[in-house]
Amino acid sequence: MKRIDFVYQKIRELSQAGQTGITAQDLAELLCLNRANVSHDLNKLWKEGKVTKSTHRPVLFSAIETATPLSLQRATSEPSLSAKKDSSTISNDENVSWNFQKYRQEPGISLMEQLAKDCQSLRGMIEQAKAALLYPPNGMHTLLFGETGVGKTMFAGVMHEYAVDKGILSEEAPFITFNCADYANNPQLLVSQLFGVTKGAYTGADRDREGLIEVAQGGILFLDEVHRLPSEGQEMLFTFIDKGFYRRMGETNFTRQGQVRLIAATTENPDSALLATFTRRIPMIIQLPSLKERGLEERLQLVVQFFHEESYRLGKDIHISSNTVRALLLYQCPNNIGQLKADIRLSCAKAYVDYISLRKTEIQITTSDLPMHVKEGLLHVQQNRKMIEKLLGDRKYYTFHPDQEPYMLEDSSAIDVSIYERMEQMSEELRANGITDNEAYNILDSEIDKYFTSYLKKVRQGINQEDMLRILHPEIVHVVEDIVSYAETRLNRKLTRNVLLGMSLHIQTLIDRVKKGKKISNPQLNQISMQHKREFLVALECVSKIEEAFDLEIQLDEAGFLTMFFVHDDVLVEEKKNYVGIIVMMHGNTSASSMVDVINRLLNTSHALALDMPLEKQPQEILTEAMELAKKMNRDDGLLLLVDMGSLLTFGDMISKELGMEVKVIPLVSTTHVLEATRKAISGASLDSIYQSVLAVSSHEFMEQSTGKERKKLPKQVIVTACLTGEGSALVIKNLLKHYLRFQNDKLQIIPITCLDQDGARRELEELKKERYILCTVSNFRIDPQVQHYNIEQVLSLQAIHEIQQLIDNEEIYQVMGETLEMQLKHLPGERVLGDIRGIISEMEKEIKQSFTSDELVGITLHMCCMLDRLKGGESVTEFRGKEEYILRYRDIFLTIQNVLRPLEMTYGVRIEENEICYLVRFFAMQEAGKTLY
Amino acid sequence: MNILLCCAAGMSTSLLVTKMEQAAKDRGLAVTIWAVSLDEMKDNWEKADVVLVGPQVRYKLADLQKEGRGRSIPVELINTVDYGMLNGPKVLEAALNMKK
Repeated sequence: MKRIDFVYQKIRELSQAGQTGITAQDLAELLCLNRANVSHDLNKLWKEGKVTKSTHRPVLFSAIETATPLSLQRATSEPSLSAKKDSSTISNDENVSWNFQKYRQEPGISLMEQLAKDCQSLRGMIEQAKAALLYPPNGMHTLLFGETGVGKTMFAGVMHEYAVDKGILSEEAPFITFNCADYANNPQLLVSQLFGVTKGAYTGADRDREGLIEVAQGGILFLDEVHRLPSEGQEMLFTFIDKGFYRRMGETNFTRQGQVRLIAATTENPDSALLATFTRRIPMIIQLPSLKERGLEERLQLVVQFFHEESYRLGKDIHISSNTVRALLLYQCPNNIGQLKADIRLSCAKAYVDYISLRKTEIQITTSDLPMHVKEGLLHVQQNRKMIEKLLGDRKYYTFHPDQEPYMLEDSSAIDVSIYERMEQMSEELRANGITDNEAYNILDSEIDKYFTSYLKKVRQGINQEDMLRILHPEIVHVVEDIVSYAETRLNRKLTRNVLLGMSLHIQTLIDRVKKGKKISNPQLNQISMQHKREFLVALECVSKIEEAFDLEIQLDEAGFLTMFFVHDDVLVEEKKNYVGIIVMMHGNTSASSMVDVINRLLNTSHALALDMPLEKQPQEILTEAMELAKKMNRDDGLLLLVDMGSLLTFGDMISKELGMEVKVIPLVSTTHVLEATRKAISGASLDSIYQSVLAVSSHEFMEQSTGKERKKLPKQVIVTACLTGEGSALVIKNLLKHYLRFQNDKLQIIPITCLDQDGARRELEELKKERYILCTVSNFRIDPQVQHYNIEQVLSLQAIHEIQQLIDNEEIYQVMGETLEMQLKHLPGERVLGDIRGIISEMEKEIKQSFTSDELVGITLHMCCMLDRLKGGESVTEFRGKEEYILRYRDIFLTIQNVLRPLEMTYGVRIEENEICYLVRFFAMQEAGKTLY
Repeated sequence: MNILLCCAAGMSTSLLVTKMEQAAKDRGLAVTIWAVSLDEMKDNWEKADVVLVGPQVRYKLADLQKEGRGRSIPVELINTVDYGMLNGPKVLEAALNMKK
């Protein structure tokens, strides 16, 4: 039985006995074996997948009982460099974190061997490294030479891993990184870091401290940028190399022995004078190849590797266009692998931002996401065409999955409906529907027209300069600026800013599309080129400019689209030159004008107008002035009034009627409102859209002041507004109503409620009804069929305001009526009677399916209240003339009313005689007659 | 001055009559105010200087105004708000203005 078998047997026994893990040291003691040997065996067993080891120190090993899949063990263990990195006290080198987990290391093979397998160009160097490590008895110090970023630190790390793996170094052998450049201008500190210091060696050295060379005892000390080591350090280092001992700083007669392998690294030419002293003492010089020397194949491997890592890091798929890969393979990369990796990470980060900001549906990297210097790689495609073709084939896209090997994807799944897609879809549809070519042309023609008109319009309305800059690549804007100025000269006319913006957006899509290898087809090409010869010729030139600038081949069809930009700019300029007018009207001598002044200055415009309304002025005068202002505008696009209160609210209608222009009124004035309105207006927004966004401003402000101040006194009447939350539209409506309606706060309250479900809302309403009188409800659905109801739209559009105002006014009438009746009725309590009578009347209305106007209602209510009091007092009413015939004629109504009145008779202990009922019948009958008359 | 109020049964307006009389008394005016039903109107035209009609019988207004024109007697609807609030002074004022 071999030693390793003993080790395995023992650790299995221990694991079966329930021990969760054991260190190499403890196991060695149990077996009376050398710790290094046991450690070596354990690592070998681990490689074979027979034992697991913990990721933290002290490293605990335990046996694996069942055949767990290898991959799983791998996942739980940490063969990478990062664990070792932990043991180093100083490590500023980012390269240490090279992630080799993703390098698909095959089990049982060391990283070094894996690397040799994957990277042909490194084979020689790897052989050298092995030799240096294995050289008896204690190996050789090594000097790594290579340009910045070729992977020297990584290589040193791999050497350490190999040495531990092969049992050359013990499992716990440290790997310490030290960058000499870090302390280059403080030799004292550098030396103390490296060799340690004794207490009192210099001011501030308050205790003994070990140097890195001590920390690295038994392992490897990696000295990066060793050429930056100051002469003091060099001397001490050479002593160590030559004699194997060193002194802590401040130590005079005591020397320390060290068993440390040095790997030094430098970017300097090893032939330089500076390094001559090194090379004399360090026989093993390994020269690492630059990225360029590694060749395209390996470079591709690295690119793939790095994207893989990024995908893994982000936990997301990453899609990369093949042009991106081309650029990454061919660009000048003076800082080698380090730079390649940094550039890839940067482009991934950029694409990720696009993704999370929802600009793209996936993490996609196209050449537009690459830094300029990377993109220049595409310039070298031609001279490397063969190699590139061999490597990439005709792959269009690479997709990296967080946990999978990369594989080819034919096309991106992202759907962006551009003019191109639209044309394709439409021609297909038309063809499928058997539409003749001629008809199809006409349809497509109008479609293209529509597209460009709306495109340019959208651009003009919605997007300001800053937004554009955020969306567009500056390079594209630059090229388009160039094109536009060229076109202006050629066409001999000015193009508006819209063309620049619209075309930039369009060309961004174009480039994307061409790069994805999608076709550009413009079925209208012939027509367009005939109809707009001049513009078309210019567009052709522009296409070649674009081709040149972005190194693309673009189909001729594109010129047809560009032509339309030039053509439609013309049309739009004539079509749209007016903006929605803004007039602010407020009570007070200067309130309106000072506010407008602020806004105009803020927006650098003079668009908003002010109309002050001093208190002594008559509304009529103000109206005349407002008319004058509106007339001067003569805007076809309409007018928005922002007014504070009172009669000003009605001006909108009057101006609208008088001048026949569309007018909307915002019954709120604040700086925010005016700012929003003016800002939108000068951006060319429509009246409706301005109105909506100003209303939206309102709702925000209302939110803040919403919480219950009105709790204490409970006014009798209530308007209930309802929405899902009770804080959204319900609140907006409430505030809108408050502004538009005249009422006394102590008489009427507007209560917003939630109506997540209809039942809940109804219950809430019932609760309110107990104490209050519900005037009406405003919500998206009727909560209670008994209660007057308005839709939110009716209120927002202000259609219902008049009606609601009448409800309120009426209630005020009834309020006073009740008070008067209370005093005037001789036999009954007036207010109670009034309440009952109103109930009975609405009952009658419902039964007879006929309703009265509010005027009629007031009269009838009063009539009935008097009737009841009269009956109670035993007085009789005048005989109704022709009573018998009348009853016969209106028999149905008569009987219905009689029925409805029953409860009233019971409640008040009266009998309502036929004469009385006839009078009531007449209200209905006459109303009915009146209706048929008109 | 004789002010005639007309409503459905002539009884509800009688409340208003009381209030108007009170208002007239306050102002020291010598006026006669009384209320009748629609059916009683034709016996009362002669005595009236002005006629006021309750809002609930607005449907009869046009007829009444026509008849009034024949007799040079102004006929008008009582303002609903004033009627509902039984606002004696205001309705009185309205009646007085009709004769001006």
